[in-house]
Amino acid sequence: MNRLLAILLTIVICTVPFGMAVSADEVSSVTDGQMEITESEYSENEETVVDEETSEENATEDNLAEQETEIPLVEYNEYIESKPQNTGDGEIVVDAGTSVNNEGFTTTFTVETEGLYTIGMSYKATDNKTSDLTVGLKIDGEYPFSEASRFVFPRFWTDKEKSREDERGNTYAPEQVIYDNYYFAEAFDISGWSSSVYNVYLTAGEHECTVNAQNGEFELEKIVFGVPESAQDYSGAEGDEYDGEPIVYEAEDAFLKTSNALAGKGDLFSSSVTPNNPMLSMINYIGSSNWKEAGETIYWKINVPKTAVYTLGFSYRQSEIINGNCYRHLKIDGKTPFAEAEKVTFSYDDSWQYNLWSDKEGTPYKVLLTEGEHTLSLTVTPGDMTNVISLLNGTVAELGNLYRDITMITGESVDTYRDYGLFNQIPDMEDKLNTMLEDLKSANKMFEEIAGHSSGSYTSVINGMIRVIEKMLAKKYSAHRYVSSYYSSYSSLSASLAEMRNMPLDLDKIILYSPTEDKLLKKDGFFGSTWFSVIRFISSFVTDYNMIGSGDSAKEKLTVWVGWGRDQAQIFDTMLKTSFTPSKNIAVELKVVNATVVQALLSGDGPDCILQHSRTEPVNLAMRGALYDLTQFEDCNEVLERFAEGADVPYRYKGGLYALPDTQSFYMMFYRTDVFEEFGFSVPKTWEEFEEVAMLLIKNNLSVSVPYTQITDMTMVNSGVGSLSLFPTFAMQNGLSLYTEDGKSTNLSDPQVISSFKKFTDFYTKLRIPTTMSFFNRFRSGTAPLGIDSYLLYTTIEAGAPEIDGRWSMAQIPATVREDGSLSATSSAGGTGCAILNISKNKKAAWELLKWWTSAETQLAYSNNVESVLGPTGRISVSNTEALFNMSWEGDIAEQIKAAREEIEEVPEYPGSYYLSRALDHSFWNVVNSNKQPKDMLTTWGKEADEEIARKWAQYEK
Amino acid sequence: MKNKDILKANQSVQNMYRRENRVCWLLLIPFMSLFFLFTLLPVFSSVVLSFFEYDMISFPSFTGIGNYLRMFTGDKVFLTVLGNTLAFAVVTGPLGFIISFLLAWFINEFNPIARSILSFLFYAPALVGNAYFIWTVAFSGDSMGYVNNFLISFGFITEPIVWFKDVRYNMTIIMIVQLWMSMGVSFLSNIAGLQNVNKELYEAGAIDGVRTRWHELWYITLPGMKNILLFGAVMQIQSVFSIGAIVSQMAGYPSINNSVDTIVNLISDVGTMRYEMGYAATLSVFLFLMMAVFRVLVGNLLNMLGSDD
Repeated sequence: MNRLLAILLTIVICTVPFGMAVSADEVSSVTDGQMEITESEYSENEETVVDEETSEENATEDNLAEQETEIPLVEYNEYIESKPQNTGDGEIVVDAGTSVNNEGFTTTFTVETEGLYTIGMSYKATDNKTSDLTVGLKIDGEYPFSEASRFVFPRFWTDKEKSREDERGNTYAPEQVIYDNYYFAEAFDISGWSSSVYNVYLTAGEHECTVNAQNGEFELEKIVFGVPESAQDYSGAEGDEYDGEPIVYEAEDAFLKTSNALAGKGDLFSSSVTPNNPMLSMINYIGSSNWKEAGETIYWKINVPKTAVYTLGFSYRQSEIINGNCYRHLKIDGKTPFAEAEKVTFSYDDSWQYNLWSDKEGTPYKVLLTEGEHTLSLTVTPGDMTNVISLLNGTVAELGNLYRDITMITGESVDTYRDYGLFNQIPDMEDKLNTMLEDLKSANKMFEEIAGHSSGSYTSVINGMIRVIEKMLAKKYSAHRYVSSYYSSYSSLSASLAEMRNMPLDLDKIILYSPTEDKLLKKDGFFGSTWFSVIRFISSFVTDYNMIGSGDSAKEKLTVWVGWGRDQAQIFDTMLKTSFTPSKNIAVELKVVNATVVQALLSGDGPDCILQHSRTEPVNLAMRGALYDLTQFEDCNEVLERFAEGADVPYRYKGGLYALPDTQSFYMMFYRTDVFEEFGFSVPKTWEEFEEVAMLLIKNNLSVSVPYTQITDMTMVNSGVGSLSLFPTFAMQNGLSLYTEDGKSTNLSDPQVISSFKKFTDFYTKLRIPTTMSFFNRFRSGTAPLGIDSYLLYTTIEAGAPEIDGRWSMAQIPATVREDGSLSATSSAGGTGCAILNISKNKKAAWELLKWWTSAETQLAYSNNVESVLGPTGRISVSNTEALFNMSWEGDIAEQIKAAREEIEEVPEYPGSYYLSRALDHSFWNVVNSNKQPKDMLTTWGKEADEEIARKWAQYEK
Repeated sequence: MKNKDILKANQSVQNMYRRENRVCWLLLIPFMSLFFLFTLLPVFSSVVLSFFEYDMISFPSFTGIGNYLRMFTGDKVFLTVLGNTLAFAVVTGPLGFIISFLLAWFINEFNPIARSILSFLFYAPALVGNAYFIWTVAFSGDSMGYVNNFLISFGFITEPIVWFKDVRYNMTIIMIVQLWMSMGVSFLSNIAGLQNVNKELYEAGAIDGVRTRWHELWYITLPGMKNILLFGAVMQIQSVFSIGAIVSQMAGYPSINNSVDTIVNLISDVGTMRYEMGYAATLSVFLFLMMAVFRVLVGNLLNMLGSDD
């Protein structure tokens, strides 16, 4: 029908060009008609909505009443604008000398001069977590501004020993340990596009302040309210000029760093980095992708031989930001020497550079240093990018809002031949587009000023967006034709906005020069570096890089197979060598293998352990006797307590446990708070509420995401039925199980299972939720403001969509109201396991490795390291409960995660269980695409699955 | 045949040839040993394995013809899959073969430079290997997929079609992709074969009364390149019966209702997912026999080329 209508209308429009207005009217009347039908269809439901809304109103009123006891906090920007700008005078030191946890510590202090003060603490972390400390500071019983409830104070890490050496002289990165002494830091805005310390306005007189730890525990030596620093512009330095040889400090020998991922690294392939040796693997620089987020700081202790004026040089590599700059805030002894030090610039080049720190004209800055030890620090800061990023942040958010407005008129798929009259329907569309155009143009100008040239990866993305907007403005009546290119330009702009905050830098050396020195240290010339490469190439034939750092002295040796990418394997290898091997005296050979273990078993030459193995494999291998039963280890039950309850279920077979969970992910619900506010929705708690919200959103041309993983290749079923779709979740929320108790057949013909399958497929058949959609992109633009996905999406959105910061949230998935009236928000889960093979000769050592690998510290460190290299998508869905809670979740979210975590229920695995996933997939597509009855499909395909499962059991029960 | 005549004629020459034969055998050793190890041995061992039950971990146990019985009577999926394989073979086999010959024939008419460029262009998809992935983009189930987007924007459909998950479309799409991919070795060999047809025959044919290009094709070109065609046909049979990767990459395995899965898909499923090597071997033995039968049939068909019947 629709197709016919569309064709007819096209003909009308084409043949009667002067009758445009008439046909356009026809179009609108037709669509109106359709709307009426849909509305009357839903009218019944709407009535119930009204009923429930009234009851909800009461509920929200109650909530409001509760909330009103807490005074809403102003944001820092508003706070600081509302206060006088006079700064305080004289540091106020409040001695504490106490341990602080989330209960807080309260003390009093006196302010003499009214004004703005910085907030600093001298502290040391006392727990063994790795994430930054989150600290709240109340003045006179209240947080002065909202950010004060969650100041981020870094943990200070230091090398356990100077870089370690193996028998052959290879050096490898030292282990990172918490610095066991008080250190001072100031509350700092880490949001990434401003680079300032927080100030607080204190009136004269006695005050009370409370410090509490939201995350972590620390010992507080003192609180310092300092005078805000206003560094003077550079005006030269007076004193005797140093005239000796350049003094070199190796950057990898840092004194302190704010992240445990900031260990030294090795560039084996350049002779310009020191120390180097073409025959060996050396640690010779620091930084890289671990040193890119605002606030991350490295401190060095430098010993200055005599009081004099020096110039400062760096040997560094900035190869990430193409044609752009990287910025660092330089401090000496905690003070900024002059204003220019707030953004020391590191320019782009794909190889190492030796440069003097100098101004734009190339005149080096001179610094007066006194004899003795000084602390020099470099902090990541957006520098000149601050303004661009904050400008674009606003623009991209606006672009997203406008896209949503457009989609609400046109729907996801735009009909090119229809006249939507976008500029009439959205009243201020033209103004909006014009403002955005101007903003984008000025952002481009800013980039040009910063980098000195107009080409660059960011400018080209911005130009793409500008072109689309210009086209839309030029052709107002056919503006809807550009909607899809609008969307794609907007997506890439938003993605590069997330990139822009990153300022990775590799630092090799810090050098103090004599100002009169004209011979600077240089990088190796062409012949030197070629010679180095030749030697490196030759030595690669005789060096076993696998054995670097593993130590010949280790008692026992293990072989571990992982099916990861090279980056992950390298990270894990470093962790093994820096943490596992030294502490347990077990050498590990890590192999990246893509084959299944079965082939290895066939040849009789397999690994000792396998890590992150897909869900169904452990039971598959166990029933064939290939895996070792972990319950034979005495402390097995103790180890199991690290995980969520029931996380071991899929790895059990006939009472034995054949793998430990090493990743586990579960479903959470994501929603856009701004859209919810606009429509007046409350966060759905049950599926009925979810459906209502979904229905209203869909009516407004927006969409909702309910995940369905298409089985696109054979190995997909290996990830287990729980992570493929929401159906197992539905069934389990109704208290049902997918298998009979003994696991000998499926439960798919159970009428209740069928009805929950129907409820599940209704999302796709009745609500017409698309089975494939890029939820992240649509969520970002707000066209799919509600959806369910793995909790890992949280990190992706947080890091990948900065423009919607604070306008979205995550909550537990909706619950099913059971017959007895209770709510069940159970979520199924997916994940991987790690196992020990039966052929291993070193099972005890292998068990040690598994325990180390599933421990909170290792899981967290591994996740953090991978994340810092691969970005937010690299985050691991850790199975260790402690590790999960130690990740940085913001207050409310942590509660939701905790609650959801407790509700996880795993689907057990049995011989032949892959057939259940297949049976469900077949049934699903038949129901969704071919309008078949869920009941028929589940019975037919369930029978097939039963046959396969029975056959498998028969094979191994003999 | 020729050798034998000479051998009969001259004993000393025979000795010489024997010595030469020895050298030939010597030169064949590297290839033959590899061929035996990696081709012949697996074929034989799979025939043997097809009578066993073997999960790759525990020791094989003898089941007699149990696997064969299961294949024909106990496995519903096998029958579906057999139908699909035959459908692919019957449609894309001859069609691909004919298209690749016709294209080669057309291209052969161009001058050498244009010919090399065109043959490169047509051979490229087969050369790149996994190039069929671009079709998954075109037929993406999202409304942003090329085909869906096109159909939606012209008003043919209102909702995106999940192409590969719909039994109405997936077979056709995969056949199209397979045809697109079939300009492979047989296409190249056809071009070579066309140029090797004796040019004098055309002249002679013209004198003897060949009037049209179709006559020329049927009486001179095709019989002249019979061997090349047979080679192409063998390659084509081999490739259409072993369609599998394309299917599982595009439609997933198992595809919806097993509607496009082929025997090869089933073999790799049974072997690598369910670890039933014995049954997998049975299936491949069956596939092998089926290919052999088709090879004989096609050989007979090709022998009819150039005849007047």
